[in-house]
Order: sequence, then structure tokens, then C-alpha cells
Amino acid sequence: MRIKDAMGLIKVPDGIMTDIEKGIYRAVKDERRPQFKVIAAAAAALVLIGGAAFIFSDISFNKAPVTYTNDDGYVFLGIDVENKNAVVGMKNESGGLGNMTELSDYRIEDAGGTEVMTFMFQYSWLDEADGSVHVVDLPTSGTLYADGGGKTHYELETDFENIAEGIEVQFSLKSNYVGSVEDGTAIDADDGDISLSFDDGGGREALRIALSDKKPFSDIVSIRPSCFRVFDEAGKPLGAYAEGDTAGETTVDGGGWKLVSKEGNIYIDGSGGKGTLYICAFRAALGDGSEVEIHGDWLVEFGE
Amino acid sequence: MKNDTIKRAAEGGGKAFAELFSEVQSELYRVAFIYLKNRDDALDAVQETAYRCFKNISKLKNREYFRTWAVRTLINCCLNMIRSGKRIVPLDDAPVISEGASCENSALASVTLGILMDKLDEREKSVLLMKHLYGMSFSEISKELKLPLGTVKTLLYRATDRLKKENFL
Repeated sequence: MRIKDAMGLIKVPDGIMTDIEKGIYRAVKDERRPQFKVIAAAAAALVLIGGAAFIFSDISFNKAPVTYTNDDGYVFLGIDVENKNAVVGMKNESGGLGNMTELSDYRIEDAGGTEVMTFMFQYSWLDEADGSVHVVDLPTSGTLYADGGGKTHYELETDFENIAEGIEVQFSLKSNYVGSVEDGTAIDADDGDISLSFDDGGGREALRIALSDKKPFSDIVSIRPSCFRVFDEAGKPLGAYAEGDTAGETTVDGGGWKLVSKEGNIYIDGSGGKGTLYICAFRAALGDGSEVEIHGDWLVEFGE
Repeated sequence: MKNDTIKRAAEGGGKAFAELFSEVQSELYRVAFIYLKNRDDALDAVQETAYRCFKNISKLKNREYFRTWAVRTLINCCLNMIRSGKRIVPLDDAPVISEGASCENSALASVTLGILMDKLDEREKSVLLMKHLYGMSFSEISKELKLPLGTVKTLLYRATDRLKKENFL
């Protein structure tokens, strides 16, 4: 008997349409998944831009995301993925591994095909002239690929001509794992997630972030900002700290207020004038002695 | 396959997509069954294929190739499931052959399917199905399976030879 004929005799179960509808439902649900929005915590006169920008999943990253721009103006985001039990799967036309042309619908799967992480991308840049932070959705064109050596790369071709020289370009790798974030509400962290609060010096919550209780962050023993900048009311930069600088004690005098970074915490004291704190990275120490860095954009406006 | 239905599905119409997918559902299930050898996993693969196809149908450049595209997606799903170590249950006594088939056909089909499922490895199955069932060229198969052209030809020769020895080609 010919293969085609034999295959035609395989009995198809009656309930197959239910499975197809489930597949469609999952795809529709994906499309409707909430995205991060600007969060305005009006009561505390604080503004958080960008929401939480963390990387957490069952896939462990042996390095923090690396972002850099090459000489041709291409931005690359490389994520080192090293997990013995996980594979990285990308959605593409054929449904398998390989290049893709839409960044909005790719996901990382664990070895069982279960989605463990969905990304969306934005880039933001800091205008040092006026202290403003611009957040822009990335164009939906790019390439995601696995290099076969355990690394996954996202490659984006974009136009940076409109960004003046000297402006710092930051990439935010954002996961929508934390949950729904609506305007005017704080991050709704699920039970088991780790919440971190930063005091504004007057007992008010200046910044709260939440990390999912997922590896590798389930094992966090301490966390501190590793990169932040402070601006006065006029948007003039008052201090810029690179990684490592926050381990000790630093004071930034804003005139009517003082910002103190001490032992990994940031305190803002005083009520005169306004200021803006921009945090671009946190460094977390894990139980096994290793460290991971969490990149993102956190912007806190403080003062009366 | 109606072009209009494909167009509506590509525009995000879940109902149109379901209608479209229903035309290939049996074929997809049967191919999945050949790879995964049991009903539940085959249904999972069909569901995953529906998910992937619905998400990506707007990117399908040539709508007339929907069927082939869906099958290629399905085969990738099946191969992923196998690679990821998903449990594969061997063909059991469950009635996998349609009741309408004659006893003779039923027996022949069981033997043929048994050989196809158990005697050929995944790569051989893929090459064989893509070539004989879907009329894909060697270069298309090579690209799809990410295998050198020579390897594709060797695999087809080996699979065909094995089936010929069993008098099934």
C-alpha cells in the first residue's frame, strides 16, 4: 500500500477542532498580553517610566545583557544564555529556529516547549542637556538568531541619525512577566515575588521594583543600584555614577535637597526644590556568590 | 483553499483561520501521528501548529502555499517535541485506522504505517514525506531541514530503499 493511501486511513479524533481553537486562543491571548506603560504614582508625586525592566526566567543568564552600538550605527543586543536544560526557540515563518522579521512575537521556550519568557523592546536615551529621558518603541524589524554556541542575539537595524552625538543610548530588555501595570498603580507583584523599596528620605516610597521569584533571581541576597544619575530641577546633571561607584557612600547636593547613596541604598533628604533620579542598572548578589546586573530605566521625580 | 479566507485569516480573523485550518487539520494530524506515534502528542503538535501559524500567517508571502507552510510548521513542531525529549508512546492497539476501511486495507495500512513510524528515523521520515507527499524539491527540503543537499538525497535513497524492500513503494 502506498504511503499516502495508508496515511489517509489514520483515524482523526473527533476533538481535533478543540485543539486547533486552543492554539488560536493562545495566539490571540498573546497579542492581548499587557504591555508596560508609564506608571504615575500621583499620590507620592513620583513618576516611574518604563516600568520594571527585568530579566528573569528559568533560563539563567551567565552575563547581564550586553548592549553596544557598532561603528555603523547598528545596535546589537546579545544575551548569553547558558542552561543545560533549556533550548532557545524563536518564532519564525517555519515555526522553527532561525531568523525572524518581527520582534513583537518571539519567545523563549524551555525544553518542553513551554513559554518561559516573552520580550518586548524599547530603547531610551538620556538627553544630558536637559536631563530628559526619551523612551521609544523599537521598530518592528530585526533579526533574532542563535549562533549555535549557546548565545542568542538580537540584531536591530535602526536609524540613530536623529540622536545627537554624546547622548547615551540605553536598551531596555523588558519582560511582561510581572503582571498588569496600569496607570496610577504600583507594580502588582505576585505572591512570591521580591519587592524592593527605596525610601525618598522622608519615609515615602520613592521607588519600588519587583522581581519575579524565578531563577536566577530567586536567590538574591542583596541588590543595589549600580548606575544612577541625578538631575536638579532644571534638569542639569549633578552626578553620574558608573558601576562600582555606589558601593561606598556618595552625596549629591541639589541645593534644597541631598541625595545620599550609602551601602547600596539611595536616600533623598530635604524638601526644597525638585530633582530627578535616573537609575539605569541594579546589581544583585546571588546566594552562590555570583552577581547579575539588571538593566533598565527607572526614573523618579522627587521634591515638592 | 479560498484565497479570500486566507486573506481574512491573515488580517487576524480567528474564525477565518479556524475555517482555513480545518481544511488541513486531518492531514496535519496524520503527519503528526507518523512522527509522534500517539494521539495525545499528535493533537498537541496540531495545537502548537495552529498557534504558530495563526501568529505568523500575516508573514506568509505566497498564500497558495498555506498548506505546505502549515505542514512544514507541523514537522518542525514534531521534531522539536522529539528533540526536547517529550515522551513518545509507541503505537499500541488503539484503533488508529478509520473504521470505514476494509479489513484488508486496514491490515495493509497498519503494516505500512508501522514501517514508516518505526523503521525510519525522523530525518528519513521528513525527507520522504516532503518529497513524496508534498512534492518538494531537494533544494527546498535541504533548506527546510537545514541539511546539505547530498545528505537529503542519501536519506531519501535510504528511506526509499528500505520501503522498497518491504514492497511498499
